[in-house]
Amino acid sequence: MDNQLVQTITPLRKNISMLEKVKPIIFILSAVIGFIACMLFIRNRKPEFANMRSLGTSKGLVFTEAFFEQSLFGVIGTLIGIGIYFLIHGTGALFIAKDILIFIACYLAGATVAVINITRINVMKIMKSNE
Amino acid sequence: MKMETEQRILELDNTVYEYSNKYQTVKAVNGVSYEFQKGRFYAIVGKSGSGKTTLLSLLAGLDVPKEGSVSYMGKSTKEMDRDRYRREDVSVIYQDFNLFPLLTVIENVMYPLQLKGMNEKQAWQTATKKINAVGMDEKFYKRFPSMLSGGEQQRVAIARALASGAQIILADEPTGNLDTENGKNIIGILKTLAHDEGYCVIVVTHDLGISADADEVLSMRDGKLVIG
Repeated sequence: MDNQLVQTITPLRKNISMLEKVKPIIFILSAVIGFIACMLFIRNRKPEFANMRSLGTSKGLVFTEAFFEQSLFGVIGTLIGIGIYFLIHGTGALFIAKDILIFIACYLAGATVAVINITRINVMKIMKSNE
Repeated sequence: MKMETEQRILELDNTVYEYSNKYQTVKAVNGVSYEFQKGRFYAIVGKSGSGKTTLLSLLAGLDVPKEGSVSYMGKSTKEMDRDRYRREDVSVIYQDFNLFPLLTVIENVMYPLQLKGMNEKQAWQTATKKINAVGMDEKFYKRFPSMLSGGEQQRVAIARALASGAQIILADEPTGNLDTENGKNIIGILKTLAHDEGYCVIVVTHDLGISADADEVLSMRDGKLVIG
Protein backbone atom coordinates (compact mmCIF):
# COMPACT_ATOMS: atom_id res chain seq x y z
CA MET A 1 0.00 0.00 0.00
CA ASP A 2 2.78 2.44 1.07
CA ASN A 3 4.76 1.45 -1.96
CA GLN A 4 1.79 2.18 -4.22
CA LEU A 5 1.35 5.59 -2.56
CA VAL A 6 5.00 6.44 -3.02
CA GLN A 7 4.79 5.38 -6.66
CA THR A 8 1.82 7.66 -7.18
CA ILE A 9 3.15 10.63 -5.24
CA THR A 10 6.71 10.63 -6.56
CA PRO A 11 5.87 11.68 -10.16
CA LEU A 12 3.34 14.16 -8.81
CA ARG A 13 6.02 15.70 -6.60
CA LYS A 14 8.38 15.82 -9.55
CA ASN A 15 5.77 17.62 -11.60
CA ILE A 16 5.01 20.08 -8.84
CA SER A 17 8.70 20.70 -8.27
CA MET A 18 9.15 21.32 -12.00
CA LEU A 19 6.20 23.70 -12.02
CA GLU A 20 7.73 25.58 -9.07
CA LYS A 21 10.90 26.00 -11.13
CA VAL A 22 8.90 27.24 -14.11
CA LYS A 23 6.96 29.75 -11.99
CA PRO A 24 9.52 32.60 -12.25
CA ILE A 25 9.46 32.19 -16.03
CA ILE A 26 5.66 32.48 -15.97
CA PHE A 27 5.94 35.65 -13.89
CA ILE A 28 8.51 37.13 -16.24
CA LEU A 29 6.24 36.18 -19.15
CA SER A 30 3.33 37.93 -17.47
CA ALA A 31 5.41 41.11 -17.23
CA VAL A 32 6.27 40.78 -20.92
CA ILE A 33 2.59 40.15 -21.73
CA GLY A 34 1.65 43.21 -19.63
CA PHE A 35 4.15 45.30 -21.57
CA ILE A 36 3.12 44.03 -25.01
CA ALA A 37 -0.64 44.16 -24.33
CA CYS A 38 -0.35 47.66 -22.93
CA MET A 39 1.96 48.79 -25.73
CA LEU A 40 -0.40 47.49 -28.42
CA PHE A 41 -3.41 49.04 -26.77
CA ILE A 42 -1.77 52.39 -26.19
CA ARG A 43 -0.08 52.60 -29.59
CA ASN A 44 -3.31 53.55 -31.32
CA ARG A 45 -3.99 56.19 -28.73
CA LYS A 46 -0.71 58.06 -29.19
CA PRO A 47 -2.44 60.99 -30.97
CA GLU A 48 -4.83 61.34 -28.05
CA PHE A 49 -2.01 61.44 -25.52
CA ALA A 50 -0.07 63.84 -27.75
CA ASN A 51 -3.16 66.04 -27.94
CA MET A 52 -3.44 66.02 -24.16
CA ARG A 53 0.22 67.00 -23.82
CA SER A 54 -0.24 69.73 -26.42
CA LEU A 55 -3.07 71.20 -24.35
CA GLY A 56 -0.86 71.31 -21.28
CA THR A 57 -1.70 68.05 -19.53
CA SER A 58 1.33 67.13 -17.46
CA LYS A 59 3.31 63.96 -18.13
CA GLY A 60 2.27 62.80 -14.66
CA LEU A 61 -1.43 63.13 -15.41
CA VAL A 62 -1.08 61.38 -18.77
CA PHE A 63 0.85 58.60 -17.01
CA THR A 64 -1.76 58.32 -14.25
CA GLU A 65 -4.65 58.14 -16.69
CA ALA A 66 -3.02 55.60 -19.00
CA PHE A 67 -1.70 53.50 -16.12
CA PHE A 68 -5.05 53.50 -14.28
CA GLU A 69 -6.80 52.37 -17.45
CA GLN A 70 -4.30 49.60 -18.12
CA SER A 71 -4.37 48.48 -14.47
CA LEU A 72 -8.13 48.28 -14.62
CA PHE A 73 -7.96 46.09 -17.72
CA GLY A 74 -5.30 43.88 -16.10
CA VAL A 75 -7.22 43.49 -12.86
CA ILE A 76 -10.57 42.88 -14.58
CA GLY A 77 -8.94 40.27 -16.82
CA THR A 78 -7.40 38.55 -13.80
CA LEU A 79 -10.68 38.63 -11.88
CA ILE A 80 -12.45 36.97 -14.81
CA GLY A 81 -9.70 34.33 -14.80
CA ILE A 82 -10.10 33.78 -11.04
CA GLY A 83 -13.89 33.54 -11.49
CA ILE A 84 -13.48 30.80 -14.07
CA TYR A 85 -10.97 29.02 -11.81
CA PHE A 86 -13.48 29.20 -8.95
CA LEU A 87 -16.19 27.72 -11.13
CA ILE A 88 -13.94 24.80 -12.02
CA HIS A 89 -11.99 24.23 -8.78
CA GLY A 90 -14.11 25.87 -6.07
CA THR A 91 -12.24 27.57 -3.25
CA GLY A 92 -8.95 26.10 -4.50
CA ALA A 93 -8.22 29.50 -6.01
CA LEU A 94 -7.50 30.85 -2.51
CA PHE A 95 -4.34 28.72 -2.39
CA ILE A 96 -2.87 30.53 -5.34
CA ALA A 97 -3.73 34.05 -4.13
CA LYS A 98 -0.04 34.90 -3.66
CA ASP A 99 0.75 33.79 -7.20
CA ILE A 100 -2.15 35.85 -8.55
CA LEU A 101 -0.84 38.93 -6.76
CA ILE A 102 2.66 38.36 -8.15
CA PHE A 103 1.14 37.90 -11.62
CA ILE A 104 -0.74 41.22 -11.33
CA ALA A 105 2.39 42.96 -10.00
CA CYS A 106 4.44 41.64 -12.95
CA TYR A 107 1.72 42.63 -15.44
CA LEU A 108 1.61 46.13 -13.96
CA ALA A 109 5.40 46.38 -14.02
CA GLY A 110 5.28 45.62 -17.77
CA ALA A 111 2.43 48.10 -18.23
CA THR A 112 4.41 50.77 -16.32
CA VAL A 113 7.32 50.52 -18.77
CA ALA A 114 4.91 50.83 -21.72
CA VAL A 115 3.13 53.83 -20.20
CA ILE A 116 6.40 55.60 -19.32
CA ASN A 117 7.39 55.10 -22.95
CA ILE A 118 4.21 56.76 -24.13
CA THR A 119 4.72 59.84 -21.94
CA ARG A 120 8.04 60.47 -23.75
CA ILE A 121 6.34 61.07 -27.08
CA ASN A 122 7.37 63.84 -29.44
CA VAL A 123 4.07 65.69 -29.50
CA MET A 124 4.57 67.75 -32.66
CA LYS A 125 5.85 64.74 -34.62
CA ILE A 126 2.75 62.75 -33.75
CA MET A 127 0.36 65.62 -34.44
CA LYS A 128 2.05 66.10 -37.82
CA SER A 129 2.10 62.41 -38.68
CA ASN A 130 -1.68 62.41 -38.26
CA GLU A 131 -2.00 64.75 -41.19
CA MET B 1 -12.44 96.79 -29.35
CA LYS B 2 -9.51 97.70 -31.57
CA MET B 3 -6.11 97.19 -30.02
CA GLU B 4 -4.15 100.37 -30.47
CA THR B 5 -1.03 99.47 -28.62
CA GLU B 6 1.23 96.70 -29.76
CA GLN B 7 3.10 94.79 -27.19
CA ARG B 8 5.91 92.30 -27.36
CA ILE B 9 4.67 88.93 -26.15
CA LEU B 10 6.99 86.28 -27.55
CA GLU B 11 10.66 86.60 -28.35
CA LEU B 12 13.19 84.42 -30.09
CA ASP B 13 16.78 85.28 -29.23
CA ASN B 14 19.45 83.62 -31.35
CA THR B 15 17.45 80.41 -31.11
CA VAL B 16 19.12 77.23 -32.28
CA TYR B 17 17.61 73.77 -32.44
CA GLU B 18 19.34 70.77 -33.94
CA TYR B 19 18.48 67.16 -34.55
CA SER B 20 21.18 64.56 -34.40
CA ASN B 21 21.40 61.01 -35.54
CA LYS B 22 24.27 58.58 -36.03
CA TYR B 23 25.29 60.16 -39.30
CA GLN B 24 24.63 63.86 -39.12
CA THR B 25 23.48 66.86 -37.16
CA VAL B 26 20.88 69.11 -38.76
CA LYS B 27 20.23 72.63 -37.54
CA ALA B 28 16.46 72.86 -38.06
CA VAL B 29 16.41 76.33 -36.49
CA ASN B 30 19.63 78.20 -36.92
CA GLY B 31 20.18 81.36 -34.91
CA VAL B 32 16.71 82.86 -35.25
CA SER B 33 15.91 86.15 -33.52
CA TYR B 34 12.50 87.81 -33.72
CA GLU B 35 9.86 89.54 -31.59
CA PHE B 36 6.18 88.73 -31.90
CA GLN B 37 3.62 91.24 -30.74
CA LYS B 38 0.06 91.14 -29.46
CA GLY B 39 -2.64 92.11 -31.93
CA ARG B 40 -0.67 90.98 -34.97
CA PHE B 41 -1.27 88.23 -37.48
CA TYR B 42 1.94 86.52 -38.63
CA ALA B 43 2.45 84.02 -41.41
CA ILE B 44 5.53 81.80 -41.44
CA VAL B 45 6.10 80.34 -44.88
CA GLY B 46 8.76 78.04 -46.22
CA LYS B 47 9.40 74.80 -48.00
CA SER B 48 8.95 71.43 -46.38
CA GLY B 49 11.92 70.77 -44.09
CA SER B 50 12.81 74.44 -43.75
CA GLY B 51 12.26 74.33 -39.98
CA LYS B 52 8.77 75.88 -39.73
CA THR B 53 7.24 73.16 -37.61
CA THR B 54 10.30 72.94 -35.36
CA LEU B 55 10.03 76.67 -34.79
CA LEU B 56 6.34 76.27 -33.96
CA SER B 57 7.22 73.47 -31.56
CA LEU B 58 9.66 75.77 -29.77
CA LEU B 59 7.14 78.63 -29.64
CA ALA B 60 4.54 76.24 -28.22
CA GLY B 61 6.87 75.09 -25.46
CA LEU B 62 6.75 71.53 -26.74
CA ASP B 63 10.51 71.62 -26.92
CA VAL B 64 13.30 73.95 -25.83
CA PRO B 65 16.13 75.37 -27.93
CA LYS B 66 19.61 73.90 -27.71
CA GLU B 67 21.06 77.39 -27.76
CA GLY B 68 19.56 80.84 -27.36
CA SER B 69 16.06 81.26 -25.99
CA VAL B 70 12.35 81.51 -26.57
CA SER B 71 10.78 83.91 -24.08
CA TYR B 72 7.16 84.57 -23.20
CA MET B 73 6.63 87.99 -21.62
CA GLY B 74 10.35 88.11 -20.90
CA LYS B 75 10.58 84.67 -19.29
CA SER B 76 12.48 81.89 -21.01
CA THR B 77 10.56 78.71 -21.78
CA LYS B 78 13.56 76.81 -20.45
CA GLU B 79 12.91 78.19 -16.99
CA MET B 80 9.15 78.01 -16.83
CA ASP B 81 6.62 75.25 -16.23
CA ARG B 82 5.95 74.52 -19.90
CA ASP B 83 2.85 72.41 -19.22
CA ARG B 84 1.34 75.42 -17.51
CA TYR B 85 2.50 77.66 -20.37
CA ARG B 86 0.57 75.46 -22.81
CA ARG B 87 -2.46 75.36 -20.53
CA GLU B 88 -2.68 79.10 -20.03
CA ASP B 89 -0.59 81.14 -22.43
CA VAL B 90 -0.38 79.44 -25.79
CA SER B 91 -2.73 77.32 -27.90
CA VAL B 92 -1.92 75.29 -30.96
CA ILE B 93 -4.30 74.56 -33.83
CA TYR B 94 -3.35 71.76 -36.22
CA GLN B 95 -4.14 70.97 -39.82
CA ASP B 96 -5.85 67.75 -38.77
CA PHE B 97 -7.93 69.51 -36.08
CA ASN B 98 -6.91 66.97 -33.42
CA LEU B 99 -10.12 67.01 -31.43
CA PHE B 100 -10.76 64.16 -29.01
CA PRO B 101 -12.90 61.78 -31.09
CA LEU B 102 -14.82 60.33 -28.16
CA LEU B 103 -15.71 63.70 -26.64
CA THR B 104 -18.55 65.88 -27.90
CA VAL B 105 -17.95 69.40 -29.21
CA ILE B 106 -18.70 71.00 -25.87
CA GLU B 107 -16.59 68.45 -23.97
CA ASN B 108 -13.66 69.12 -26.29
CA VAL B 109 -13.89 72.85 -25.58
CA MET B 110 -14.40 72.23 -21.85
CA TYR B 111 -11.27 70.07 -21.65
CA PRO B 112 -8.67 72.90 -21.29
CA LEU B 113 -10.94 74.69 -18.85
CA GLN B 114 -11.30 71.67 -16.60
CA LEU B 115 -7.58 71.08 -16.93
CA LYS B 116 -7.14 74.51 -15.38
CA GLY B 117 -9.35 73.44 -12.49
CA MET B 118 -12.61 75.11 -13.50
CA ASN B 119 -15.76 73.35 -12.27
CA GLU B 120 -18.12 71.72 -14.76
CA LYS B 121 -20.83 74.40 -14.65
CA GLN B 122 -18.43 77.30 -15.22
CA ALA B 123 -16.55 75.34 -17.86
CA TRP B 124 -19.84 74.64 -19.67
CA GLN B 125 -20.79 78.32 -19.64
CA THR B 126 -17.40 79.48 -20.88
CA ALA B 127 -17.26 76.75 -23.54
CA THR B 128 -20.69 77.69 -24.94
CA LYS B 129 -19.57 81.33 -25.29
CA LYS B 130 -16.43 80.30 -27.16
CA ILE B 131 -18.31 77.93 -29.45
CA ASN B 132 -20.82 80.68 -30.23
CA ALA B 133 -17.95 83.10 -30.85
CA VAL B 134 -16.74 80.97 -33.76
CA GLY B 135 -20.18 80.98 -35.33
CA MET B 136 -21.58 77.67 -34.09
CA ASP B 137 -24.80 77.38 -32.14
CA GLU B 138 -26.14 74.99 -29.53
CA LYS B 139 -27.21 72.35 -32.02
CA PHE B 140 -23.50 71.48 -32.34
CA TYR B 141 -22.76 71.14 -28.63
CA LYS B 142 -23.48 67.45 -28.29
CA ARG B 143 -22.20 66.32 -31.64
CA PHE B 144 -19.04 64.26 -31.93
CA PRO B 145 -16.20 65.49 -34.17
CA SER B 146 -16.92 62.74 -36.69
CA MET B 147 -20.37 64.29 -37.23
CA LEU B 148 -18.85 67.64 -38.29
CA SER B 149 -17.38 68.91 -41.54
CA GLY B 150 -13.70 69.88 -41.70
CA GLY B 151 -14.52 73.57 -41.40
CA GLU B 152 -16.73 72.95 -38.37
CA GLN B 153 -14.06 70.81 -36.70
CA GLN B 154 -11.50 73.56 -37.23
CA ARG B 155 -13.90 76.07 -35.67
CA VAL B 156 -14.21 73.81 -32.64
CA ALA B 157 -10.41 73.61 -32.48
CA ILE B 158 -10.30 77.43 -32.49
CA ALA B 159 -13.02 77.58 -29.81
CA ARG B 160 -10.91 75.20 -27.72
CA ALA B 161 -7.85 77.38 -28.25
CA LEU B 162 -9.81 80.45 -27.15
CA ALA B 163 -11.26 78.67 -24.13
CA SER B 164 -7.86 78.23 -22.55
CA GLY B 165 -7.54 82.03 -22.32
CA ALA B 166 -4.19 81.94 -24.10
CA GLN B 167 -3.08 85.16 -25.78
CA ILE B 168 -0.97 83.37 -28.38
CA ILE B 169 -2.54 81.19 -31.03
CA LEU B 170 -0.20 79.06 -33.11
CA ALA B 171 -1.64 77.37 -36.15
CA ASP B 172 0.08 74.74 -38.23
CA GLU B 173 -1.45 74.71 -41.73
CA PRO B 174 -4.93 75.43 -40.30
CA THR B 175 -6.56 75.47 -43.73
CA GLY B 176 -4.63 72.53 -45.16
CA ASN B 177 -7.59 70.15 -44.96
CA LEU B 178 -10.28 72.67 -45.86
CA ASP B 179 -11.85 73.86 -49.09
CA THR B 180 -11.23 77.44 -50.21
CA GLU B 181 -14.43 78.84 -48.71
CA ASN B 182 -13.93 77.25 -45.28
CA GLY B 183 -10.25 78.15 -45.40
CA LYS B 184 -11.13 81.81 -45.92
CA ASN B 185 -13.61 81.70 -43.03
CA ILE B 186 -11.03 80.22 -40.68
CA ILE B 187 -8.43 82.80 -41.67
CA GLY B 188 -11.09 85.49 -41.21
CA ILE B 189 -11.71 84.28 -37.65
CA LEU B 190 -7.98 84.21 -36.87
CA LYS B 191 -7.50 87.70 -38.31
CA THR B 192 -10.37 89.05 -36.26
CA LEU B 193 -8.89 87.49 -33.14
CA ALA B 194 -5.59 89.24 -33.81
CA HIS B 195 -6.88 92.64 -34.88
CA ASP B 196 -10.01 93.04 -32.75
CA GLU B 197 -9.25 90.95 -29.69
CA GLY B 198 -5.53 91.49 -29.42
CA TYR B 199 -4.34 87.90 -29.81
CA CYS B 200 -0.93 87.18 -31.25
CA VAL B 201 -1.70 84.77 -34.09
CA ILE B 202 1.14 82.91 -35.78
CA VAL B 203 0.24 80.70 -38.74
CA VAL B 204 2.63 78.29 -40.40
CA THR B 205 1.51 77.74 -43.95
CA HIS B 206 2.26 76.89 -47.55
CA ASP B 207 -0.80 78.85 -48.63
CA LEU B 208 0.21 82.10 -50.29
CA GLY B 209 -3.36 83.39 -49.86
CA ILE B 210 -2.90 83.35 -46.09
CA SER B 211 0.41 85.18 -46.28
CA ALA B 212 -1.33 87.91 -48.29
CA ASP B 213 -3.68 88.42 -45.33
CA ALA B 214 -0.91 88.54 -42.74
CA ASP B 215 0.50 91.66 -41.08
CA GLU B 216 3.97 90.16 -41.26
CA VAL B 217 5.25 87.40 -43.51
CA LEU B 218 8.30 85.51 -42.30
CA SER B 219 10.06 82.99 -44.49
CA MET B 220 12.00 80.04 -43.16
CA ARG B 221 14.94 78.97 -45.29
CA ASP B 222 17.35 76.32 -44.10
CA GLY B 223 16.50 77.05 -40.49
CA LYS B 224 16.88 80.79 -40.83
CA LEU B 225 14.10 83.34 -40.61
CA VAL B 226 13.84 85.93 -43.34
CA ILE B 227 11.44 88.84 -42.98
CA GLY B 228 9.20 89.62 -45.95
